[in-house]
Amino acid sequence: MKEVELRRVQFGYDPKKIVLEKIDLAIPNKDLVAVIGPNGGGKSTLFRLILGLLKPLQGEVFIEGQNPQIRTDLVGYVPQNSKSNHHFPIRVGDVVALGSDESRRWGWGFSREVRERTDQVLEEVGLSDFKKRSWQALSGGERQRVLIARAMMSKPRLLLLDEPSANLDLQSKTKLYDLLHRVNENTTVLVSTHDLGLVPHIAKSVATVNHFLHYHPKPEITDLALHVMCGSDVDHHCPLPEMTTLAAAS
Amino acid sequence: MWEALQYDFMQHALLAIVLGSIACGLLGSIVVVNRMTFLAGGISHFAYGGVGLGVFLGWPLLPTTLAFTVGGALILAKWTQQNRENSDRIVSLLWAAGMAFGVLMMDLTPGYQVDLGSYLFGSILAIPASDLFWMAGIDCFILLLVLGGYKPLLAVSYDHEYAELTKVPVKWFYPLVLVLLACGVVILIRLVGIILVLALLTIPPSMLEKNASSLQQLMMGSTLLCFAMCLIGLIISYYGDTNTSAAIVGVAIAAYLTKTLLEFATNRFSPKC
Repeated sequence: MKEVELRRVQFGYDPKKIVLEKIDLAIPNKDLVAVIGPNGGGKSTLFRLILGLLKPLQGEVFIEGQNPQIRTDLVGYVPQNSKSNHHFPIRVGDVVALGSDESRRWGWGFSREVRERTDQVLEEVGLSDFKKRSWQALSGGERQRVLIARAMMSKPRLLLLDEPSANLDLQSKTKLYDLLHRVNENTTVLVSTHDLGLVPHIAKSVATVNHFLHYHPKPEITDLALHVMCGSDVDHHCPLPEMTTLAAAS
Repeated sequence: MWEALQYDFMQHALLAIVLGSIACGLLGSIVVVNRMTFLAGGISHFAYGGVGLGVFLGWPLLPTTLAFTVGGALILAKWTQQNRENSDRIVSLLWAAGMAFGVLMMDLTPGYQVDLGSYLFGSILAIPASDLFWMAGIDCFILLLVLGGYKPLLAVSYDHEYAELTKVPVKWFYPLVLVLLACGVVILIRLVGIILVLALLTIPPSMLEKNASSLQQLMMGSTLLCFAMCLIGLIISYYGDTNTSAAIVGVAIAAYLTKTLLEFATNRFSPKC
């Protein structure tokens, strides 16, 4: 059983305007997939389908054989750092604790179990001393690691990161991708990125999304991937072995 | 001033300040961090329609205003959720409609009318005991919902999208906050009046937002700051023989400007590395 499976998925926010078409994807357990593609190509939509926030017009989405709309705890999500409210008055420990189930329950404070789990994930991301620090005082790289810790609170099987390295300097990016490799030891990771030059160094496989999807199980950007990115008229609906052959030939 | 404390009206005023500060601190913090100031203004001005309705029907003003304003808040929540891109126009419409309706109702009411300016600009020195009971009851309701629902409120305020993803009931957040705002506005009308409610709701948390390290801290700090501003305003109006509401808001604005100028001076003249 694959970690992530999309079978003949088709989606559009308007049924007359399809955003993602004929999507077939099978990601093995503990893969680290770089999801690349132009802006507006459907990367975020693909993520939202995997998260269960959207229902496909056709086809099915499975996470470990289960419906992500029901088993929301299987998937952890790290949004773009630029979308977070940088001035919100909140401590790092509370940001992380909001990744637990308790965030939707009545009550003033978080339980001891949640606080202990918060300490654990902060240690995993290398921020064990940051629990009481103010969110407003963090750098971009530190914020991103806190958001990763938040996503890991539910012990997800799959972690999705939406352009985590946007607006980070090279040193912060390096630390971030080192962290993702550590997380990947136990968790399947999908990370969308525009850092094409870093893809061979950070990923085990590449998925290119631009209305269609091309998945290549090696950390390289093939000519077919570039065709998909550029939206050129290539028949993308071909079985995986043929795509692999084409990729090897390129 | 100590001699004035033996009078009921002054004791009522102090109690109203305590009750109003609690509402301000809790709700004002939520309004400021969620950037809902314009919505709060719309609801506070809409409340005048409730005052007018109460006068016209001869019903008790505070509960009538409460019911009217909560109803308006629910309509506003439904309407703006369906038309997000036009929400500012809807708020403006409700803002004006409430005021106009209130004035019309009062014009249509025969005979002598109570001092309705006290609802526009507050009358902290003329609060009857019955109103204090209503204010205390509304405060309890606000405290119950804000403290009890603190974690979902925090989740949605901090990151709405992520809260939706983790199945926090986000669609209830918006109507709930507007209803709580309606309740808070009714308390604060007696303190500073409809026109000046917005200042008291927003100035204390705006001053503390950058320095607070948690929403809890912001709420508690705003409550205490609001209490201090109201008390100082009351004292100034007592000795200066001026309108109390205006004095309270004047103190709040002076405090805000002072803090802003101090920050500017600190940034401008501090040594840079």
